Amino acid sequence: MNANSFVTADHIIAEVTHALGDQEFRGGFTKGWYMSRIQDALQELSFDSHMFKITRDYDYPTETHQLEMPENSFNILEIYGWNGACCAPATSSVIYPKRLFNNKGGNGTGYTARVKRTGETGGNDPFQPNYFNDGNYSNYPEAKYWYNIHNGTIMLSSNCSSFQKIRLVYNGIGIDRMGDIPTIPKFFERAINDYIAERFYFVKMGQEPRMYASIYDRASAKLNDYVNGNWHKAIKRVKMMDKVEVEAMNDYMANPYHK
Amino acid sequence: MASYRVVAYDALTNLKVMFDDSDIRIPQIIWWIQVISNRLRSEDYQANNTGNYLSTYSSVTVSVDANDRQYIDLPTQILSLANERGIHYITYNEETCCCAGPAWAQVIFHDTTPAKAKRLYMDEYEKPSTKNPYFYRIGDKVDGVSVNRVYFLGTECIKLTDVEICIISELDPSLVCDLDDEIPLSPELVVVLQQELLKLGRFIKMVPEERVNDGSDSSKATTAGVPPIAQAPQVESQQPTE
Repeated sequence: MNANSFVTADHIIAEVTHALGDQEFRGGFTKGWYMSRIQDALQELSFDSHMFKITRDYDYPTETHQLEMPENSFNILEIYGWNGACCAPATSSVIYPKRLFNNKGGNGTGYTARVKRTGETGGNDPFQPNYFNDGNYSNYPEAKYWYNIHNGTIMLSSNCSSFQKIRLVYNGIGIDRMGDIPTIPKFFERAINDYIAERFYFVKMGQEPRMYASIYDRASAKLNDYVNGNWHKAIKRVKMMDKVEVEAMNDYMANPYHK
Repeated sequence: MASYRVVAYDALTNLKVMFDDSDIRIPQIIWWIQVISNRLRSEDYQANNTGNYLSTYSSVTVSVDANDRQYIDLPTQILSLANERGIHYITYNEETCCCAGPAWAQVIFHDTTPAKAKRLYMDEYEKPSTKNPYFYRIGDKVDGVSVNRVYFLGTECIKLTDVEICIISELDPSLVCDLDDEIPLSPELVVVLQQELLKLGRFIKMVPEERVNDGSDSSKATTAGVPPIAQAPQVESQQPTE
């Protein structure tokens, strides 16, 4: 996320409770309920926009060659193995994703894969040529380190154990653990306000349908309308960010040497 | 604001019951004033969200019952409003209670009920805790003993010594000691109080009076075929004859 401008959860709650006439938290909704809805909204926005990009280092799991994906993470973006002092990688290498790699059990070097490293142990696969045994691909550069993910478990090739640390870069949902106070980017403020209002009236509609059905419809439209709704505005804002990458790509495409 | 004396004698005058042996007397008018005022205070508070009826108690001692549940005895009876709005707030000072946090970080207790509390524990953000405590009210009996308590959830792990509470109290009709005290009611509602008093008084005066105690037994069966209940001899027959 290319932004460093945030609002507090209390700031959101202060506005939304006033708008909903629940300043005293006596309408059946506690402050915790509002906080929980803020987290819901942030989570949904994260899934839609992939805005939170998180980097975290872990000790290499020498016993299992497996790491659990961090809590509240999704969409692993990059994995590196590195050696060096704490938080200062001296040497590092990319660990690549390898389709259908599986070291379940994680007790050492054994694994299964549709295409293994060489054909020696598994024999030639007539449909999926191995890297070294196929004449056409004899010089094909094989990925040296690799991983695959099964059900939230990152399975690493055993040669990754030459690294002391594994660095994960992934998308998060704005908090480390459920129950943490969420951090809210300013450009999501309006969307989150409207999201809470929509949820508020949804609950109210369940209790008193005749009184709240029409208000709920308005709140829902204000949030979800594809043109003017604040949810889509928020997503659009995220997508319009990172202009530096767009500019770099334009420069690259306009360069005559690349024509 | 108006005193009890002014309003009560005004009502007696308007109802034309100023004579000594009237059926409607000052104690009864005072009772009516309190009962009607309670309703007016409740309506006024809910409609206008006024602080006119709030009372604060800055240090109410927290006790622990036989089941290790923390509670306080309410200092006075409160208005019974939706979502326990009769309790305006309950708060405690984190520093006072040996928790981390600055002195000004006052924590507000949210209202709940014993049955609703179960759901709260299912959500990490709503779960009762020292940062997010709750209260529920038990206003009738605990193990057969009459109580007027407020219990706490989320503060079990700390030694809670006292809390500050702000309530909307109910007027006790039996506790008017001085007729010259002001009626604790917004001035603009005094006219409504007077109207309600007259309405009640007029209704009472319309109730037909049972003038005669004839002493006869009205339990006598009248249905045909049902034998009458045995009667005591007539009074006259017991009179000694001269």
